[in-house]
Amino acid sequence: MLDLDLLHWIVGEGVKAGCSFVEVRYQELERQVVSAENGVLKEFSSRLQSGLSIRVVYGGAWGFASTTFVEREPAKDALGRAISIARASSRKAKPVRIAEVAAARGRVASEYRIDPFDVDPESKVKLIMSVNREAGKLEGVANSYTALGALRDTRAYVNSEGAELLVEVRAVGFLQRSVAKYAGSLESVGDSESRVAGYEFIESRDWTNYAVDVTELAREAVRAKAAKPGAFPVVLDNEVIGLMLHEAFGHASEGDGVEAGASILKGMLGRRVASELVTVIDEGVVEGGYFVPYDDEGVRKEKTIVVEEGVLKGYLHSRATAAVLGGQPTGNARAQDYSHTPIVRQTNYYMAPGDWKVEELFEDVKYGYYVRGRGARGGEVNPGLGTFTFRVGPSYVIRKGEVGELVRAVTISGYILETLKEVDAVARDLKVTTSVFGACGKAGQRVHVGDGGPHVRVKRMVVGGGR
Amino acid sequence: MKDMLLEACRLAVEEAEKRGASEAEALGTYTRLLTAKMGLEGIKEFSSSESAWLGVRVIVNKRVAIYAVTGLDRRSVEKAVEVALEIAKASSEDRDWRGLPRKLGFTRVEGVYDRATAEVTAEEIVEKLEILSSSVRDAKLVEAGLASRASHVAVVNSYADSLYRKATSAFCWAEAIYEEAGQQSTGSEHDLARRLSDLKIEEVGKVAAERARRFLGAKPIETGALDVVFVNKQAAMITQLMISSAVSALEVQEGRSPLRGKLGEEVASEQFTVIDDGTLPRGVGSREFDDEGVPTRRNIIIERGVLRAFLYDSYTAFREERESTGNAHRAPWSRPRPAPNNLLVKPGKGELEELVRDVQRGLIVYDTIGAWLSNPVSGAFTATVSQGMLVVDGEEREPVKGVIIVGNFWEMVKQKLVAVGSDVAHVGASYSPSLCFRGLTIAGR
Repeated sequence: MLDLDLLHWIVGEGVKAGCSFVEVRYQELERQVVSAENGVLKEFSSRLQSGLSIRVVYGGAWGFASTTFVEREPAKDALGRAISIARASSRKAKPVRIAEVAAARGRVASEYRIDPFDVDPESKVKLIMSVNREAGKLEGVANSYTALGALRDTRAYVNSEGAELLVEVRAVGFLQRSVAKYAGSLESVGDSESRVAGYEFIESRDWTNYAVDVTELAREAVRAKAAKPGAFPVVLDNEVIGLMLHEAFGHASEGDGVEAGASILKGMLGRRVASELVTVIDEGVVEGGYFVPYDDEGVRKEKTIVVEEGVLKGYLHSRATAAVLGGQPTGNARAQDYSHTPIVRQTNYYMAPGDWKVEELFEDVKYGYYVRGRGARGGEVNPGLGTFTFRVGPSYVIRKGEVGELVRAVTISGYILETLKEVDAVARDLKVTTSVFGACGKAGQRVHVGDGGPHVRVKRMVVGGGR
Repeated sequence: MKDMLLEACRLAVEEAEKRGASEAEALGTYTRLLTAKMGLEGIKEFSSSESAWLGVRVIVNKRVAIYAVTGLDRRSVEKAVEVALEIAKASSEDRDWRGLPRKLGFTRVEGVYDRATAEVTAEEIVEKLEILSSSVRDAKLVEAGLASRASHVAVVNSYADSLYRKATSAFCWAEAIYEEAGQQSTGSEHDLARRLSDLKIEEVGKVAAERARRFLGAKPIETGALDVVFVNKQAAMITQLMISSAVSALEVQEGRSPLRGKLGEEVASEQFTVIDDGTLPRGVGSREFDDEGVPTRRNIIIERGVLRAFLYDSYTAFREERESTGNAHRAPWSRPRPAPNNLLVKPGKGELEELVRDVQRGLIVYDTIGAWLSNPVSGAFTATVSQGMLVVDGEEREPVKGVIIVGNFWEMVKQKLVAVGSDVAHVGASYSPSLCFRGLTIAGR
């Protein structure tokens, strides 16, 4: 149970004990996944996690401790552990420097009409089972997996500088993964749709239609040919540009990586890193994205312009990286949950829209690919080198300006600073998405993010044929 | 902590039965963890956490549901029971459900708890980290880390009410980078043990630095068939990846194991014996009972190449009208699944050098990336070599990276395994000596 008095009490105890800075985070996180596979209810998994953590600066060093027992005595014990960590570290750590920020106070909740945790389990099971059966009925479907996800995340933040915040997020999502079989070969396509919203989002859509669409794509893809490997002009859809920017560029723009020298963007401020059509933004609250009005250091997350017309303008910061690298805190210090220390993370990372109509992007392409995100499986990047490889979804051939036949899931790869310089057309159709199922991992912590952009054309990109 | 965990678990089972559950089970866990990371400029991150979870499993007329909460107080316990029952009533009947296990108990296991590890202080952690980081010599430290954990587990069900165990573990790692003539190369190493004092701290720093230096300038070699020696830790990682789920009775029953229907058959070379042992002294996966309260034991999986057994939790065991093998693993919020406790590849003869001596043209594999893209369902194995050494006539020649090894794991262990070393090492709870295979496909330049 949230007890702000308890949090203030711990802050007071920390200051009394000689800490020069104290922050206390409390969190209540409820998660639910209901899934069905091949007509059988597979899992109804549900949990409620709550706890608090204390971060202090004592003797010039950081100390951090957490507990799931939300009461005075265990909290005081955690404070003691945090101070002893700071004491032990002070001899071997750089003195803490954190950038000044105005102490924020406020209460914010994402919008919702129906709390997903108030909806009875029975109707969730019924929905999942009926959608799963319908998708599984289609001819040639070897496996149909359907899931419904929901989360409620309440975070409270109090610190010794006078900040007091309460942020509450609710999100729901629906997932379908279908495996189609044809002539001894299998193709799997998975996709999900999530919103920061209540259960009304689930009720507003026809999920059978959605699941059938995903399944039809798998059925079509298993019959499709592999793409011709080579370097071609490509049109990337909203999801692919989002995935590529977040993974290959977004992580490189995180201040902690820059500070450690593990980023290709180190020392590039004010320099050209992309074509002038490219503007890249990280923003806390954006239509379709995740909801991050404040970060886990109590800093307001506004709109951060990372790249403006091709020129690198700034990095994403925590209070510590801003102090070291010389910038303003951007509200990007985020923690997986109360038991983790905040580190620099993206919120909703996207490319700003341009002025092309989507169909115009295809017109000048003689032979290339329309690279699609639905069914993408992720990939690997090296933010220190800027290299990336993604396995994206079934895609289309572009021939003489027209979208042609489907090809199987393809692999795209490249070097991000070259790829972004090859962007020669940016459409108007901005779309940002998030997911309750997946999360972005870094240093052992997973957080929900959003990403996206408009349709984008790249003059030349390496496309692998897949299997 | 023992009493607090057992009381919360007993209360959960009692409440669930009172409110209409035909059977109930509670898993209570309490974990304390200290984790510290150090870079060139000193301590980067240092945290201490304690967490308690209660996971309840309730059954109402073959409808099974699980719910988990943090906290062990009466209010948390009641909330968990209430929600679990609500979910159970909404779920469909599981026709294969036979009941919770009734034969619960302990196996004596040595060396899984160490008081000095459980009670380590922040100062001691910093001292050990300094030793670790200063053992990274002739290469630049990227990160050194050390963690110690103490965990307590209680299991109570409708048939048993006093199972409790505790254990400790310690983990350390180091990552180094080496630069020379505009080229750079990284190396890393890690170690995991039940006791902090068993960690080979200096060795870890030394090996990370050596690896970084040794593989500078590594490049791909030409495509072809080569003998491949996976050094012990790589072999342990690969066997864990390819064998764990293949021998899980759940995967076998659901048709997702390449070993289905092969009991009693030869699935590997005579030199290949694999054992699951939950009782290995000081073993990092050893425990007195599994996550359902069933005593652990030693299970022979593959004996001189012949498939002898699969691993069961109670659900998969009762489906075949047999007993659990003590291999249930679960998080408080998820269903149990069978998995190895400690997976052991039985050692043969010869250190790594002796295995390499007999190789005419081959590759020693020290590190790989992307092995997770392999498919344990079909046995298709793939890994990109990030640190390899070309061997010609038993001599190490040049560092290699960026080549892909592909093959079918079961074909590899049956037809291509030529030598099993004696140099056992472990990654997680998977223990293996170095393994040498003849003629694997390498996709390179």
